[in-house]
Amino acid sequence: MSRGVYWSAILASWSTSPVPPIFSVNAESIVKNLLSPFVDVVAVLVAIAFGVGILGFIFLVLQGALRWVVGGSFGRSMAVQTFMRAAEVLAIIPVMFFISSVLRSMGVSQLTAVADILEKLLQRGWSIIMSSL
Amino acid sequence: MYFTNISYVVYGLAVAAYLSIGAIHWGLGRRSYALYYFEQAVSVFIYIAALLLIEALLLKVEALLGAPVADNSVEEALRRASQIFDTARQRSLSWILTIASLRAALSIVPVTSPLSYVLGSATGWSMSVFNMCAVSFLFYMAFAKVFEEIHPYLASLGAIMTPIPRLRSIGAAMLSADIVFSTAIIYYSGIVSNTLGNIPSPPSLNPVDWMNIAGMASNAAIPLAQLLVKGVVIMSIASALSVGFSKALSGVYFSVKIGA
Repeated sequence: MSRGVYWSAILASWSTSPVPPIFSVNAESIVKNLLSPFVDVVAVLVAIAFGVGILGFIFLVLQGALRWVVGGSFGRSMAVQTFMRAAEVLAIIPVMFFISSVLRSMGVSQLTAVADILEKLLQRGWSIIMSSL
Repeated sequence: MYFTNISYVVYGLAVAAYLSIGAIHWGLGRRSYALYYFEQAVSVFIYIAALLLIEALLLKVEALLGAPVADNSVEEALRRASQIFDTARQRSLSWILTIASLRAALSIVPVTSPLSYVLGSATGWSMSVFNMCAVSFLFYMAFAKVFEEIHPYLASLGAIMTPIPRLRSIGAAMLSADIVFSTAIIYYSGIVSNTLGNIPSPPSLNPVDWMNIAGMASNAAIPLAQLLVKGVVIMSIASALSVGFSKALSGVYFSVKIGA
């Protein structure tokens, strides 16, 4: 997703949000100007987190397979543990998406708004890591 | 009230950042670090709930004090408060001017010159009260004007920063100062406004009134002194509440002392 489309999505979520802006525009414009680099930084951070999860999963699966093949009976036991760790490392990715859906399902308008933005950031991070892998 | 659409973006960014850092630690096998950052992400939501609670409490305070502290009219109420304090200051100044003019008039004529000293002694304590009130209400007026200007920033930035763990110490201080002092100023201005009607204005240039000028001045000085003490007490309590409220939200704090 390009940056323009991403900002359009964020702005659209602001305009359709149930809670209107209350205080002066100046304070918000200050924060808005400060926010733009942080959006990119956090999206890259999310992408790094996904990358660590995916690469960690691959690395651990390979390590487990190696232990399974060459480790004998003790190695197979270790391999099972490694496979479990690999599953745990990969599981954090759907869990992060799951958190946003849980927040949305709570029915609190403020949490729903936060969940929408969180999900957009996660999707952007996911698209970044998918395009780079 | 304290939630703006900007806040949602900041909260979303903070939650995503903490979740990501936690996920990175999780992927690297440092589970305790990961859990710490996941807790920080959850604490953002806890503090959002705390802000909702604060908003509900402010509505209750508004109902109790008759001070519009929980909606858009805060700035308008602060503007009105500064005007009320200015009226009180001008009332004090008019008394100072009247008594000083009368003393000057009495001292011009040699026969009545001793009466000027008598009047000075009789109205000395009243003049002290008027002087203190003039200075104090000037400060209250300036304080209300300052809060009228910084209220949007304190409220918005405080609400934005308070739920985010790294920024909480700043945000909580801003939020608590804004909530407590805005409420205190508006509440105190209501008291001053109600009392101003009971404070007599200085007499016109009528020699009959001059005979009892000390009594009239004391009738004006006593309610003004009560107002002054009420202001000091309200602002002292507000300072303590601001500090305590900020500490309750894990923030740093500052206190303000104005008045006599």
